[in-house]
Amino acid sequence: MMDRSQPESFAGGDRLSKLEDHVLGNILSFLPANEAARAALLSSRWRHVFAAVHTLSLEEPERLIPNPDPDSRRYSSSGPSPDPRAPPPFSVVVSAAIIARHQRRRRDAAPLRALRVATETYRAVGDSSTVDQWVSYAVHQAAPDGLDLGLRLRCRLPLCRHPYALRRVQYTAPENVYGRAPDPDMVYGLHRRPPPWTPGLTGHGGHEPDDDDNGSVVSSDDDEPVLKPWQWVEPEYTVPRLLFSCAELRSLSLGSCRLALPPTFTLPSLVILLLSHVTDAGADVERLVPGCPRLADLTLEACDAVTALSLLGSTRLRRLALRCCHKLAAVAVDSSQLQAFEYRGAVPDATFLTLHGGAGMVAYCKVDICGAEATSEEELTNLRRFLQLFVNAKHLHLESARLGSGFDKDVPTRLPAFSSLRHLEMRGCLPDYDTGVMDAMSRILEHAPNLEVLSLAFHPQAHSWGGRQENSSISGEELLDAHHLSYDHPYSVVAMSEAMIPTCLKSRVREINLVHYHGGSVQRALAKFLLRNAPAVDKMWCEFAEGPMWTQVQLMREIKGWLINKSATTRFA
Amino acid sequence: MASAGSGDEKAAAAAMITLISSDNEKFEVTEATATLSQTIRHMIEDGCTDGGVPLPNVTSKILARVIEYCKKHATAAAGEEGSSSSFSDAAFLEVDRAFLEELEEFDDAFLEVDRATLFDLILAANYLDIKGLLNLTCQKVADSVKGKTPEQIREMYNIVNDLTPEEEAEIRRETQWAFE
Repeated sequence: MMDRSQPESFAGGDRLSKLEDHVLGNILSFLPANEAARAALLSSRWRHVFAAVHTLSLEEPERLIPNPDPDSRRYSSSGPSPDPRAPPPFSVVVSAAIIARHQRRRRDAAPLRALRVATETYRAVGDSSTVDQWVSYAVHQAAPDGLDLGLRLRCRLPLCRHPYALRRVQYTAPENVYGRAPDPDMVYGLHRRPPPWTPGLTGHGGHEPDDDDNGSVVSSDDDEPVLKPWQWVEPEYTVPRLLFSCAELRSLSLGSCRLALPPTFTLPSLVILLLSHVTDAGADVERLVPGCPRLADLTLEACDAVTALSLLGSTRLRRLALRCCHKLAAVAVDSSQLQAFEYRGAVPDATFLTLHGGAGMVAYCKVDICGAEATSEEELTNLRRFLQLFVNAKHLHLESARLGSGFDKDVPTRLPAFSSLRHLEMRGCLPDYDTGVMDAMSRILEHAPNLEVLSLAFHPQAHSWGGRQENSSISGEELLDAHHLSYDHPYSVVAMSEAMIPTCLKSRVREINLVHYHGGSVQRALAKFLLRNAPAVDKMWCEFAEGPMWTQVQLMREIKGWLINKSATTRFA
Repeated sequence: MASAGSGDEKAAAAAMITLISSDNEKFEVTEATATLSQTIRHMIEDGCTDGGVPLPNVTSKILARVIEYCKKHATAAAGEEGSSSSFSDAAFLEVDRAFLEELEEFDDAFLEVDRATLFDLILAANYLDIKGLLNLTCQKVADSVKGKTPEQIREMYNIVNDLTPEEEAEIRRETQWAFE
């Protein structure tokens, strides 16, 4: 984005400071609250502008660096630090930010449109009364045209304990993940493997983790009592009741709280609701629905106490996202208005989702299979059945440990024809031994006759394998150096598979995007296969994995060479 | 050049509103486009738009750009519930991703203006009360100062620091929480 402006001295002096208070407040509302408050130092004009800020966003900075040293069994807690120069507890910062809006006593602060607080640990906050005060403040200062409240009390809690994991042909479990080099090819993500379960984690003790079926891939036994931040036993925060009578509440996002819904309540303006790591049971979440007549957008994340969910009363629901609610076995939705559906978890079985009102309107669908790659025939069949529900999707987003996982194999259940599909987005790792991806890609594209845009995002791939595949098709050259990028000799690209060239590729696809392209031989073979057979492509976007410039230039030249339409718009980053 | 032009065929039957810029240029737009402006919406509700709506604070150059924005976003707003919320456009729902992406691209391109125009757009959006446009332009300013020191921001926007060292110290004391 170019700023072609002349130096301001030629362009009218300080026009920024001449804007009205509420406009300056609006500008500062897009910044984190501490940055917005620091604007007071600009000049006397700015000294009290913070009172006009209508949105307070505060996120606790990361302070504790996890120590991978196996001898340090525990992180130091975030209790009072002996260092007098240490920053104050985050809760003090949040409360100070709230008070700062009212420092100018002569005038009222702007009505509050949003309060978003993300803390690393609720324990760091101290006690529930502090958080209650924030919530109460937001409710009382709420702007009449809508309040957005976000409260994430353990904001760095991972979404789930099932990191993506590739299945390897020959796999040997690593003995000590932290003590020596792990096998990064096996598990990657935020953490190298699912952490051991700590009872009482979320206050509903007695529940065991549901580490479903992937014991064969991801070792979950661990004798070392290393506690990760997400395993700390935390007290549980219960949202104050007054929140459930807030007529202005329009968007609510709660993380690691308990709702404890009052017997009767009404949230007449609530449109967007996100519950993450909320410990209430499904029946309570269901009860929200009749109390929120305008609810259009519902997201449930890692709500382990939700086992079944019926949202039949909510006829206005337009977007539903269910991420890593691993105990959730059955969902029934009134889909008459549903336009977007998102799922993350294990492969859902045939009875998981019931759409009352059909799936006709669902234009966007994302299915993200976390944890180990699905390989059994049952899983693959279920995955295809699940996708059949979204046969009218215009935009389909598939993510899994391995890109295109499961579509390279034949199972009795066929993929439906996604004749409305215009944009297909696929994400996952594409390791260099994975020559099946050609078949998977051809098969999927064959079922998307009207596809126009294809986006592939490659999960970062570990560069040092535990052991190289014997059956690898790589022509013998090694991946280089510590970065992810590689550019071997052009001819090391695996031989083009004989797969049929999908019709959409031949005539329809006009845009291809590659994200985190690192030029592994299979990635290059795939890119070549796609580009060489897609004459209609007039837009090509490629974002490289980190690496030296010269490698990027080589890969860029190669990609440009594959493009049939030489006048296509290209963008490389 | 000032005509409302294509893209509004659907609403052709709908009422047209004439907007008159400070330099007396007339712009004919559909009601759906015009009512993205709360100011104009209220004028229509009060029935005082006959003979055109004079906008003495907005030049034709800026008004043309504002109308360009409104036309594009009126289609998005039409899909939304009639209520005029503080949330910009339909962007919070993944209703139609392709369209939203297009809208985003439009917004990005729309913002590629020099700083003087950006301020003109902010003033127009504020005067006409077009929330989406005001947020879009304000966010651009916010992005430009993000992570910058006060001194850098002053330099960027020609702000003269008239605070005494004592006042500065006082502000730092008052807002100590923001400097941790």
